[in-house]
Formats: sequence, structure tokens, C-alpha cells
Amino acid sequence: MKQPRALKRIDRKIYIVFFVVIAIAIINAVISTYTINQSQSITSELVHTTNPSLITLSRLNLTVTRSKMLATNWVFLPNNRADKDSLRVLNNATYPELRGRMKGLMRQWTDTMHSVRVNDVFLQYEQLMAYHQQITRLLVDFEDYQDPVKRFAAEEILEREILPRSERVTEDLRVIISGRSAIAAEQQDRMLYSFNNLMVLVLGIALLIIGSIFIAGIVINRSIIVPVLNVRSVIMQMGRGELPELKMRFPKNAVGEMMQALRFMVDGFRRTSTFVEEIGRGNFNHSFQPLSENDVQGHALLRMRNQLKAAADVEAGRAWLSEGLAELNGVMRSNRDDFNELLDKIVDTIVGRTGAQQAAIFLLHNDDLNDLHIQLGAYFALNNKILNSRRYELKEGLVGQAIASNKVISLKDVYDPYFTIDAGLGESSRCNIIILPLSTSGKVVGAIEVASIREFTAIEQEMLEKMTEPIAASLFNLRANLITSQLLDESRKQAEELAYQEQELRKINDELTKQSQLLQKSEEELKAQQEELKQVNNELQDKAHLLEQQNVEIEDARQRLVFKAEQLEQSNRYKSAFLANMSHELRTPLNSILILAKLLSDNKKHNLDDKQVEHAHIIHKSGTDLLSLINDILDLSKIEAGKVELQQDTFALKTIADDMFLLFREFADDKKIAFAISMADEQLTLTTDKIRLEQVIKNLLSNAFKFTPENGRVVMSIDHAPRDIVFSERRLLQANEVVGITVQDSGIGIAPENQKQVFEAFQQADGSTSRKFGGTGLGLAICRELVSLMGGEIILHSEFGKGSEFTVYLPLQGKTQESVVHEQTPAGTIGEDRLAGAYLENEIRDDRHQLQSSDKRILIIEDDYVFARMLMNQCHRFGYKAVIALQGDQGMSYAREYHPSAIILDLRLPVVDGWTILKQIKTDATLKHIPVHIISSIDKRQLGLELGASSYINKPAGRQEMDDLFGNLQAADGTRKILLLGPDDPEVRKVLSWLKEREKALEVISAWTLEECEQLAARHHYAGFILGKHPNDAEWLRKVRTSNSLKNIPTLVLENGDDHFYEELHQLLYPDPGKEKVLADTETFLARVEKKQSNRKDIDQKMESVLKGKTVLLVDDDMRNIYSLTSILEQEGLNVICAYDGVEALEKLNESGPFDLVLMDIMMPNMNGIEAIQHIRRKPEWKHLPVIAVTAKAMSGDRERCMEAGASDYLTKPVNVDQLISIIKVWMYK
Amino acid sequence: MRVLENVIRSIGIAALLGGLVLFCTAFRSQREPVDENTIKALFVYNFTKQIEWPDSRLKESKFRISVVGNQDVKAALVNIMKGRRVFDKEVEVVAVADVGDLKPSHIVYIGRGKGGQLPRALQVSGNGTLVVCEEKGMITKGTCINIVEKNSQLRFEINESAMKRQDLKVSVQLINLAL
Repeated sequence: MKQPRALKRIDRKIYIVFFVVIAIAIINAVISTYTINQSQSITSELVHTTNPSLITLSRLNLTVTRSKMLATNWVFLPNNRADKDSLRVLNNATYPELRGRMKGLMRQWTDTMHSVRVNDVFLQYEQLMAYHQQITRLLVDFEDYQDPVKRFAAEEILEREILPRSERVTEDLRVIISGRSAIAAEQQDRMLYSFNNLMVLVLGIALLIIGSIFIAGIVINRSIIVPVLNVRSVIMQMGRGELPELKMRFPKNAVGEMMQALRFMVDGFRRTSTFVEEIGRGNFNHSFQPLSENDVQGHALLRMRNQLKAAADVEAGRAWLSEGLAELNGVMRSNRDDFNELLDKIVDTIVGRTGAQQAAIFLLHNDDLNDLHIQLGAYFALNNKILNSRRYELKEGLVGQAIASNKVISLKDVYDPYFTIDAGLGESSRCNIIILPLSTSGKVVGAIEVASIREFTAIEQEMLEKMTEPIAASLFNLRANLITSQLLDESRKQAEELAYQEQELRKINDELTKQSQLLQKSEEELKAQQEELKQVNNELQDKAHLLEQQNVEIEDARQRLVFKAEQLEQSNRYKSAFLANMSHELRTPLNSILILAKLLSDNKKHNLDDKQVEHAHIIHKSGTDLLSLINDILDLSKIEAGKVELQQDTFALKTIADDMFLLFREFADDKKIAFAISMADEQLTLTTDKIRLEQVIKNLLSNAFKFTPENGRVVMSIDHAPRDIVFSERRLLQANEVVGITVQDSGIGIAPENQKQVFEAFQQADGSTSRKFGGTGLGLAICRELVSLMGGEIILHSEFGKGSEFTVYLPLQGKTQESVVHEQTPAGTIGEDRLAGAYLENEIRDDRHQLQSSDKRILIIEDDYVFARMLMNQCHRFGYKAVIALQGDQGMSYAREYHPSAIILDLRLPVVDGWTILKQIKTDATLKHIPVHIISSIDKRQLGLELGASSYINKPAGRQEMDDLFGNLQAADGTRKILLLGPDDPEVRKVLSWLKEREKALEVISAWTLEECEQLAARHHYAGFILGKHPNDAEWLRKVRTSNSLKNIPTLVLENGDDHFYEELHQLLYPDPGKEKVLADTETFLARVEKKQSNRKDIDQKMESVLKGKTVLLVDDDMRNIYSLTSILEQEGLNVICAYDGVEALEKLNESGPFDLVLMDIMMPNMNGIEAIQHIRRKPEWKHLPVIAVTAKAMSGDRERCMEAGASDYLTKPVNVDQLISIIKVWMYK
Repeated sequence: MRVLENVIRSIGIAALLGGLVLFCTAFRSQREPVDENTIKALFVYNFTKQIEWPDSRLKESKFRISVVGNQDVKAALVNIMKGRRVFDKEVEVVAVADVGDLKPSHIVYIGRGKGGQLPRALQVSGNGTLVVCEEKGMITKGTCINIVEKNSQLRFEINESAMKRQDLKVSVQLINLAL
């Protein structure tokens, strides 16, 4: 078969592409082989010659260097045998081996320049070896090393020959190595270059091949594959019986031609199918041309069409006929009542079916056999002529004939005048007539006459004939029916009327019966209800009686209760008043007893014998015991009356442990009892009344010590309580965590039957014990009450004779704690506290991790983190490191941990507020030297400074204030400054020189007047203040105490310059936080004076003389107090004048003056002490009169009230004699 | 290229020959018996390495060795010190006929026969002068170091107190090598 041109063209294209690809592949192979060959030779040179050469040269170089080192070692290290052996091995084995290898390698070298140089190096090294030999021969054994000649000669060779020569060889080798390295590098470059080329080539060729294949692919795809696929899909569609359109582009090749043929085929199929479809639809007139002469299918279809057409025509005729009959039947079925209407309908139907122009029905009336006639029944389009003669006789005309003979008469092409067809617009006289008799089962009822212009077809005629029978039957039946139904109607009407009347009667009867039944039923129900009502009424009456009775009783009881409650309240009031009075009334006489007993026991006049002194001692001691008993009773009754309010604050339990240890350590030592405190978790903090808790623990501890014999053991331990303890206290049960503070002793123990009693008031385990151990027996009762007030519980475990264990359980996180937190942070919320805590854990960036021991650090306690950061930046500016605490409790612990040189404190803080911190710092011996600077939005400057703050800045703080603050800080901790008043004195000069010797960084600033001192102190921080000896120094000291700027500076009065003074001065300069000797404020100074006096029995003569001849006004309403105090004061050489109330005091001041000092009781009739002090201060000449307030009530706030009123100082009853005297001395010291 | 290679090769051969010559001379010089004066000079050179002069003397620009008498030692010293620096200073070897002509020196070498001038030399030379003698018994007369012959071998003696007087510090190694 001959291939079309297009196909050939495709083949050629494909072949060309394949040839190109193969050619490229061959070229690629050739070039790659060439390049790889080249690289191989370079690599082989690199591997076999260049790199080994380099390695050998390097080893040679190493050998030279090593030989240099070994030769040096030979000379200088006589005992280093290993190095000597190494040198020999190097020269005798290593070097020859390297030389041989090098020679072998050099033969491969292409250039001679390096070979010559390497040979030169060999020569030089061999020379060096000769020198090595000289050295080895010179220095062989120990003696040789001891011979300076040999030794020096060897050194000379080393220095003159070996070292410089070795350098030269090394240098030469270095040059050679670098030359060889360059060659190696060049070879590597070449190799890399050729590999790069190869890579580029391979890549390029690969791209070329891919490109060619890609193009070939596109060509084949476009010209062959896509069209073939199209053809395939068309054929597939045809297989499914579809005839798709071929809309795609035909390529100009064999496939294209194939597609053309396919389209032709599809078109043919489509035409044939359209034809068949038309036949199916019954359209036999569709034109169809066979596809060709030989179209077998086409011709067969044509034949089939013609046969189908003929069959269809016949069928249509039959259908028409039966349709007509059906219609007629329908008409007759639906018209059974009206005879005439039926006739009309029949005529209409016949005319409609046959397409005739006229028709008429004639009926044979045979009711009367004597008058048989034919009458026109119904008609269609008859003209007048016929209508005029409606009655025919039998056998009259064609109609009569047809009826008579019962035969069809058909007339064709009848011409006028017999018959005309009027059509309104014209009339036709030519027509065809057919007359059909209507007969059923042999009876003729009439005839139908039909006229048409057109000749009746056979089928029409047949239809008409077939119609006659049913019409006749129908008419016959209808006529009979009509007569029957007329008779039936009449009889039915009469029957209906009768039935209706009977029904009415029956209905009325039924209703009457029902109504009588209903009446009977309702009567019964009414009767039952009436009875029930009667019963309920009776019950109600009973209950009302009962209630009345109860009401009376309740009212009675209530009145009794009210009366009882009033009585109770009254008795409670009496009790409270009684206790309050007891407090005063019991203490006042006790005061005198104590004072006088002390006076007697001191026996200053030495007029009592030892026995008497001892008695006085006993009186004093009993009085003290009595006082503590009274205090206990008051405490207990206060607690029981619920009058004790807890001062909630949050603190670390560690502080309690420390305090207790300090408090009882000495006591334990005295009694030779082992005392230990253990703490499981030092971080534990508790929120409750610290003072009360300490009271409880103190009590437990002192009990423990009391009941523990010598060499016994007392242990206090603080730990989380175990979970399995069953508490009876509700708050403990609710608490998440419970802390237990246990005091355990090895004392006498408590018998089980007594264990309950010990907590009751005035009970001791054994009545006899009180005689042996003393005590009131109230302590544990108070403890129990206090602990339960704090929401805790005391549990006792004891075994008689073995010791006891008291455990105080307190809730760690109770309701109380939350409320406290809330209270102390009015602005913030608990959420904010948590926020601060969160900051603490993750966010705080301060210097705590970069602290070094030499750093000056500042603790910033501030809950506003941003402001704290700002303060920290300020600290950095002034060269300080800063540690930030966002919560009060943290602040306290940081103060202990970091020992800051100053503290910047905010007052409003979470957990523990700033006031508490300030108080704690200023009462803690280890912390009180740290200056505290308050920055707060709370405006209570005076209070802050009074509590010991060094400065007080109100928020928002200005820049100037901040700078001043840091200026003060710097001044405070740089060079230490001492302020000195009254310099021109040999004593002062002595002190100054002593100071200068001690500390170089110390600066002593002298001032002439107190005012000057105040100004100086306001500007700078001073480590100490020394009052020079001066006639006015007591006056000065008093002023110092009242001056804001000076009173916080530790102050010393320069006395006789004795050793004590220097000791104290040393303490002042180098405060030792461990001992409580820090002179932090004037109060300590006072305490010091006391101590000094009690230590040194000989009273300072000068101080003694201070009091001589001075006059004191003693104001007190209690005679006993006046008596006892007067005797004390007079013993000191004072003149005492008494007054019994404030009014009298003022009178006495006016009349009997001048006075040097006033001792003022506060609780007095007429005018109390506070008022009296206020009066005194109003008078200008008494403005500076020392007034010392004395009060029986040691209550918080008393002191403040007195000081506010203008008192110079404050004392509590019962008065401590020593304290009283020293205070008087201070205020009179002139 | 070839011309260049030839040149390089000839240079190489020349270097080779030169090296050979050097080699031979080195051996020849080694073979010569080392004379007494050279040893003495070597001693002196080693003293400079093992002794520390006071700072004041190290401020001078030159290190001066004065040789009284014994011109052979002077010549040997000049030879030994050639190309060397002591305490990073230029070394100057001076011959002095009479002690009276002594300039301030770091080392004064009193040659054989001139031992009588030792007291004067000690007088004239200031602090920080190392006095070296080469006569038997001079060590007791106040010199710092005395070079003597023992068992027909040259050795030296050290007078540590004289050293101390001159403010000189001697290393332990030198003391170990001394008699």
C-alpha cells in the first residue's frame, strides 16, 4: 500500500531528532573521557609525588627543629637521657630514612631548582650533625657537665653554630616547602578547572538532549497522538450509539484524512437515523434519498415506510367508525331524561360525524293503533318547505316508505326540486340523501334522514347503519322509562311525609326522660358536701384555741429572756468595769510596794541587816509575781470577754525561732538545759498576731524550762503539720496547710488524767507542783484561748515522768490571711499581688546576680515595677547596685540577705506594708544601722521620720529630690563623717588624733554651735555625733534629742576620755551588728547610761552632783505613789514638791517655782496629766521645762499622746527606779 | 626556560660546593687544640650570662670589659665577643696597662702578674664591677672570681661575699660549676 506524503514527512522528522540525540551523546562521551584522563594523570602526580614530597619536606623540617631542641637539651639538661637517645635516633635513623625517601621523590620532580636546594639542605644538615657529634662527644658523663671548660665549649658550639645553622636550614626548607606547595596548589587548580569544564560540558549536552527530545515530543504529540486520540473518542462515542460532531481541526496528514472519512460516515448515519425517527413518529411523508445506489438499508427503509402508510390508513377508518359509535353511545347515556333533547343531540352527533349538511329524525307514533303516523322529532338545518309538513303517514314519501319497509334508502346526486340545502349565503339543490329506518329487535321506532352535498363514503354509510340499532333501542327504552318514573315519583312523596311525623314524636319523649335523671343526681351530691363542711368547721375551732394558748406561753418566755439578757449584759458591764478598775487599782498600790521594796533591798543607807534586805527582796519578788498574775488574769478575762483584737501581720516563722533562741539561750545555759530549735522550712511565713503568738510560745517555753530538771533537754521545732491529725477547730479543718510549732521537754510530764485540766484556769497538773515550781497556772489557759482566737489549736502529748510535748497548730492559709492582704493593699487587689509575684519569679531584672562583695548595694522595696526600675537606673547613675523587692515580705528577707547600704522603701506594699518593714528594720539589731529612705504617696512625713526613716519623699518625686536623695546616700557611705561640737579642747584634740589613727577615710567635721550642727546634719549623713565637754552639754543633749536632723545620729557625750569612752567610740565607728551595742539612736544612749550605772556601782560623782539641790514637782493623785517616789527622789538629793492633780500642779508651778523638772501622772482627777502638760507648754517660760509623763497603763498610743501634748519623756508604771533616775539625770544634766 | 634552568642548576652546584667548603673549615677549626686564652675568654663570656649587675650599671650604653695585662686574653675576648651583645648592649673590650687608667667597667680582668694591682683596682672601680683574676690565691685577696688550673684543667673560684659587696648576683648554676 502506498503511504501518503504527509505520513512520510512525519517519519523523517522523528528520524532526524533521534540522529541528533545520538550524535550529541557520542560527542559527550569523547570529551568526558579525554577530560577524565587528563585529571587522572594530575591526580596521580598529586598523590604519588607532590603530596608525599610536601609531607617528607615537612617531616624534614620537623627533624631539624627537633634536632635543635634536642641539642639544646643535651647541653643544658644533663640528666635528660630520653632526649639524648632521641637525638641519636634522629641523626642515625630518622634523617637517613627521610633523605632516602626525598631522593626517590625528587627524581619525579620536573624542575631542578628545588632539587638543587634540597640537596643543599642535606649538606647543611649533615654539617649540623657533625656539630651535634662534637657536643655529644664533649658532654658524655656527669663529670663533663661539671667541667666548665667542656660545658662552656659545648654552649659555644650550640650558640655559635648549631642554633644559627638550624635556623638557616629551617628557613631554606620553608622556602622549598612553600615552592612545592605552590606547585601542588597549581596542580589542584588545574584539576579543578578540568573538572569544572567537564561538568559544564556534561550539563550543556544533557540540556541539549533534553531540548531535542522535548521538541520531538511536541511534534509527535501535535500531529499524531492528539488526532488519533480524537478519532478514538469519536469511535468510542459511536460504539455507545451516539453520533458526535467532528469539530476539531484536521491535521494535514493521514490521520487528518482518516478523520475526514469518519465525518462522512457519521453524516450518513445521522441522515438515516433522522428518517427512521420520522417514520417512528408516524410521519410517512418525510423525504429520504438513499445514500447511494447500493444503499441496502436505505431502500429497505423506504419499502417499510410505504407498507406502514397503507396499514395506517385502514386503521384510521376503523378508528373513526368506532369513535363515532362511541360518541353516539356517550350522548345517549348522558341524556336519559329529556326525550327531545336526546333527539337533538343525536342529530347533532350524526351531522358532526358525517359532515352532512342536513339531517332529521322521524318518529313513528304507534300509541294509538288507529292513528299510526310519522312525525318529525328533531332536525338540523332543514328548510321551511320540509318543516311545514311535519306529519307523514306510513308509506308517505321516502321516509314513510323506509319506516314501513324497514329498509335503507339511499339517493345519489338528487337534483332540485326535491331537495335543497340552505346554507344561509346560498343554497345548493344538488345533494346526496340517505334514509335509515330505526329499528330494534324488529320494531321500527322511526327513521333518520341525512343529506350531504358530498357523496357518502362506504365507511360513513356503514357507520350510519350501525348507529340505527342503538339509537332505536335507546329511544324505545327512554320512552318506556319516562312513563314508569312518572308513576313512581308520586307514590314516593306520600311515604316520606308519614315517616317524618313519626320521628318527631319519638325525639320529644327521649328528652323528657333524661332531664328527670339529672335532677335526681345533683340532689345527692349537695347532701354530701354539706356534711363535710360541718366537720372542717369543728376542727378549725379546736386549732384556734390551741394557738391562743401557745402565744401566751411564748410571750411569757420572751419576757423572761429579755430580762435575763439585760441582767447578763449588766453583769458583763460590771465585770468589764471591775476589770478595768482592777487594772488601775491593783497596780497602783502594787507600784508603791514594788518601789519601796526595791528601795529597801538596795539598802543605800546601809542601815538594814542582811536578813532585812533579804526580806525586802522577797517582798519585791512576790510583788512582781503578783503583778504578773494580775496581768495574766486581765489577759484571760479580756480574751474570754472577746476584747482581744489580733493585730494581723505577716512574718517569717524564722524570726520567731531566732527571737526565742536569743531569749532563752542564756536561761538554758544557766539551768544547764540543752536548748535547740529546728525548722523544717525556713521560708515558712504566717499571718497572725505575732506578739500574741510569741506570748504563747514564750509561755510554753518557759513552762518547759520550768518543769525540766538540770541536764534536761528542751526542743522547739517548726514544721508543716502531718495530714492525719484530726483537729477540732473548724478553721484548721478548712485550712489548706497547717503549721505546727512544737515545744518538747524532758521534764516531769503530765499524767493522762491531768492532761485536760492543765488548760483550765488556775490548774496545774498536780496541786503540789505549784509549791515546787511556782506559777499561777493561768499561762496554758491563756495560751489555749489565744491560739483558738488565732484559729488554731494546742495539742498536748505527755507521759508522766518522761516529759511533755505541746504543739500549737495554726492555719497557714486561712481566711484571715486573705483579708489582711486585702486590707494592706487598699489600692491593689489580690490579683495585683499575684502579678507582683509573677514579676518576681520571671521578670525582675536587677543586679542580684552580679553582686560582688565590694559592691555598694541598695535595696528597693517598691511594688510598682516600672518605678522600681527607674530607681534602679538612678542607683546605677550614682554607682550603686540595686536589688528590687516587689513585696514587703521579700523586702525584709532581702534586707537580711543582701546587707544593703541603704533601703528605699514604699509604704503601700503587698503582703507586708512599709510601716511594718520600717518598724522591723529599726528594731532589728542587725538591720537598724541601715538608713531607710521612704518614697511614698502617703503623706505622713512626720510619722515616717519618727519611726526612724532617714528621709521622706512624697510621690511623685521630682528630679531634684531624687538627686538629693542619692547625694545623701553617697555622702553617707563614702568617707565616714563624724560631727563634733566644741573643738578647742585638749580632750577633743586627743580624741581627734585617736580617730585619725584609726581610720583614714574618716572625716571629722567640727562645729561651734548646735545650730550649725543641725544645718550640717540636714545636708549630710554622719556616722556619729560627739558632744564635746561643755558647761552646756546636758542642755545640748536635750536639744539633740528633739532635733529632727540630729536625733537619728548616734551620739556620744565626751566624758573624761577614759577607756570606756574609746570603747564606745570604737563601737560608734565600727558597729558590730551581732551585739546589741549599736548606738542607733538616743534611746540606746539612754540604755547605755543605765548599763554603765548598774555595772559600775560607784555612781559618777558628777552625775550625782547634777541632782543635788534641784527641785522636782511630783504630780500624782495616789498618796502611796507620792510617798514612794518622794523617798526615791529625796535619796538622790532632790527637793520634791508634790501636787495631787493638774490644777494644783499648775498652781504650784506658779507659786513655788522655779522647778527643774516635772514628773506628771496622767490619770488624775480634776485635770488629767495630758491637759496639764498642754497648759504648761502654753506658757513661754515653761516651754523648755522637762516634763516626764508617768502612766499606769502601758498602752499603745499613750506614749504618742503624751509626746504630742508636749511631754519631754515617758515612763510606765510600775516605775523602774534606775530608769527613772537616769531619765531625770539626762534632763537635768547641766 | 632551559636557559633559566641551567642557571639555577649552576647556582645550586655553586651552593653545594660552598657548603662543602664551609663544612671542611668548620671541621678543621674544631680539630685545632683550643688554647688557654680562648677558654678564659669563654669563661668571661659565660660569667656575663650567669651574673646579674645592679640596675644602675645596666643603664650605661656599653658593656665594658677592661683587661689589665695579658693581651692574649684580650685578643681572645675580642674574638669571642664578636657579634655578641651583653644585656642587649654593645661590648667593648679595652686593654689597660695600669689600673690607674681604668675607666668605669662592668668587668675588670687582671691578667697574670698584675695581681698586685688588685687592691687598687678594687679601690678604683666603683660598685657593680666584676673583678676577675687568674693567679693562684687571689680569691682570698678580694677578687670576685679567680681562674685557676686544677689537675691541668682550667677552673674558676667564686668569692660570694666579694660578689655581694659589689652588688652582683650570681646564679646557682655558676656557683655549682665553680671549685
